[in-house]
Amino acid sequence: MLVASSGRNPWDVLFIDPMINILLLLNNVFLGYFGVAIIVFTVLMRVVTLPLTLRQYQSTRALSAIQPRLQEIQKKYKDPRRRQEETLKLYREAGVNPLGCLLPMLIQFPVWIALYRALVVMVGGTPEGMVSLAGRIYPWAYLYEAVPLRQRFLWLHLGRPDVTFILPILVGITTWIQQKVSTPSSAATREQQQMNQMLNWMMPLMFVWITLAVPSGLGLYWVVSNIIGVVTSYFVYGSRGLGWRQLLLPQPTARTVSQPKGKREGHVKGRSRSNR
Amino acid sequence: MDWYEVASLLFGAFCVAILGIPVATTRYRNPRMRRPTFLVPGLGALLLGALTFAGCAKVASPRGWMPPIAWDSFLLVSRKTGEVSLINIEDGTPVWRFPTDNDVRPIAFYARPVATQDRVYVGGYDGNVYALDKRDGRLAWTFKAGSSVIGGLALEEVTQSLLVPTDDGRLYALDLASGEVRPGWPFRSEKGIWGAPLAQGNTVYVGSLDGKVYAIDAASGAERWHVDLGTGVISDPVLAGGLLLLGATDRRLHAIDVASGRLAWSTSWRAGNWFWAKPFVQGETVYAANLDGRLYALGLADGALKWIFEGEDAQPVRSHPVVVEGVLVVVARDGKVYGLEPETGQKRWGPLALDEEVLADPLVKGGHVILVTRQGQIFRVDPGKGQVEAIAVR
Repeated sequence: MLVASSGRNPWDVLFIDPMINILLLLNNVFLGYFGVAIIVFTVLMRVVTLPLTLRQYQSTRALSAIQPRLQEIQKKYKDPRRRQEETLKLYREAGVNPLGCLLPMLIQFPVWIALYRALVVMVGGTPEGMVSLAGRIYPWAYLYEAVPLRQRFLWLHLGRPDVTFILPILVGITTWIQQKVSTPSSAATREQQQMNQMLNWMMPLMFVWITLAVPSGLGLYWVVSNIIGVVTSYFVYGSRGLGWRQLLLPQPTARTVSQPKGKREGHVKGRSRSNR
Repeated sequence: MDWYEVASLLFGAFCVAILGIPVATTRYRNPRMRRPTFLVPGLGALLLGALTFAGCAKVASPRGWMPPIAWDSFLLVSRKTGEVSLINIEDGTPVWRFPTDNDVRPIAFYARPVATQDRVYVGGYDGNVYALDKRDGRLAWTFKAGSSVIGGLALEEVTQSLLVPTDDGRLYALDLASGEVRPGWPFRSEKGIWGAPLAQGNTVYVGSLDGKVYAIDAASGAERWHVDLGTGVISDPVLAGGLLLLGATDRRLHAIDVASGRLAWSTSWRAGNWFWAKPFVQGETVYAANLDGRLYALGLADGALKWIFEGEDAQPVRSHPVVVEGVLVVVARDGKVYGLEPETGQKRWGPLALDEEVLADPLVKGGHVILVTRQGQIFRVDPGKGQVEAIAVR
């Protein structure tokens, strides 16, 4: 007699539970090292969503490439309707869908949220956490062997924040680099450029802050995910002339708006070349 | 507030200071510069999002589910995380609490305590066992097990030892007076021990998450036999009719013949979840609560299913059931208490809603069932009348 679990919400059954069970499977395959299971699972998830990521990057790159022409249109046409028409025309000519970089990201969101939730359920390691985890494990003896999960990995206790600050710092550095290599270097407006610069600072600091409060298992996931993001960006965008110096030092603000037209065009062209 | 929460707050303030203030004051430093209107709200939203995310992603910290124990008119309970207190149950007066010293931080208490003539012994999630004076709660000795104590403590009367299971798979036998480890101990299993050991005569039985049930010589700590169930053994064992009954993570209940050291029977079916609660035996029937929210009644001799009772909302049942005054009392995690007919599983009364979570095992005292909720409330259930009352603690 098999009694099926009931009263579960579809989100848990369709997304979170499968991820938990795959993580348990990987945990057993990798000899009970749950940290390794998290790393391998992160890599697998990034590989599965790679087509969407590539599409997102390609759309971002295409949008970045037509930024100079978009700026021209904004300058040239004061009438909002005409400006919109010309902008759409430019999008058609360049074969760019402005939602192209947004849609793949939106599709990936449920996957990442489910992964976060799965990790939160699994890395706690407390007996209370086990009561919650128990009902999510599929009835397969091989999976039962995984619990309770080994919480130690390298210097980390995967269920607790990293007291050595090493992991939060790693998260901060890798988020910073990923922001740098994946953010388009040309912006339509000064405000946008300022926003990009601010985000380049803000996001890593935010993630450092969050990592200080959440279990190290999540921090480990972020570090691995960021590294894969950097590698993927490298293959899509190339190095874009970003050496260590450019990565670590703030770049000077482009004076695209306030400078005379001739100088601005030259500057934008220069940036555009570097993008290629 | 933990140190890292303070650090997080300080770090958040630092972020706001170094990023928010320059942005907000941009206009005053350069009046000709148009301040981007979306920047400050954007940063605010980002901060708020980060705070919310940090809150959502945080894993629940251990709270503990120590079962209450009683002697005379006193009740030893854990009403606050990481604290045990002795209460006079007649008037609700607190007698003492432990710890009182800020240097002692047991984190939480899960293990069933043991009381002797003059002392009580409690096992902490911090990996320490504390021997306390019964009268005033004064600390007599501390034993550092080095790994969380989750499974219940037990008294081994032949050698007068305290049995302590740990999360790293060890089972210690400690001298009651001094807290020193007995020669030949600890016994080592390959994974954590989350169920209490059971001492019977000169044999100690314990199940481990490594999938094995061990019979150990109480005097020497040497293994006599083991049965490999191939799945994590998680419940406290019960000995009845020469059978050792245990719940496991393979969603089955198992019975081992202690005379031969062989598996007598396992349920041929799987429940919806783990049998974490200690089975309760009365006569020829085994009552086994499951985390799937059901109570299973089985035949003791062969494990044949007699009936199943299902509580409301499929709430996990981790507390073991008890039969008091001819009523089978079972409580689910959501604090709903049911009174059942032991023979048929038909509901006699309930559910009585405590409106607080219950994961700790109940205590039977004076024909009543004492329940302690995770929020620290103490309730007394009268099984005969199907009534519940809160015990006020001053």
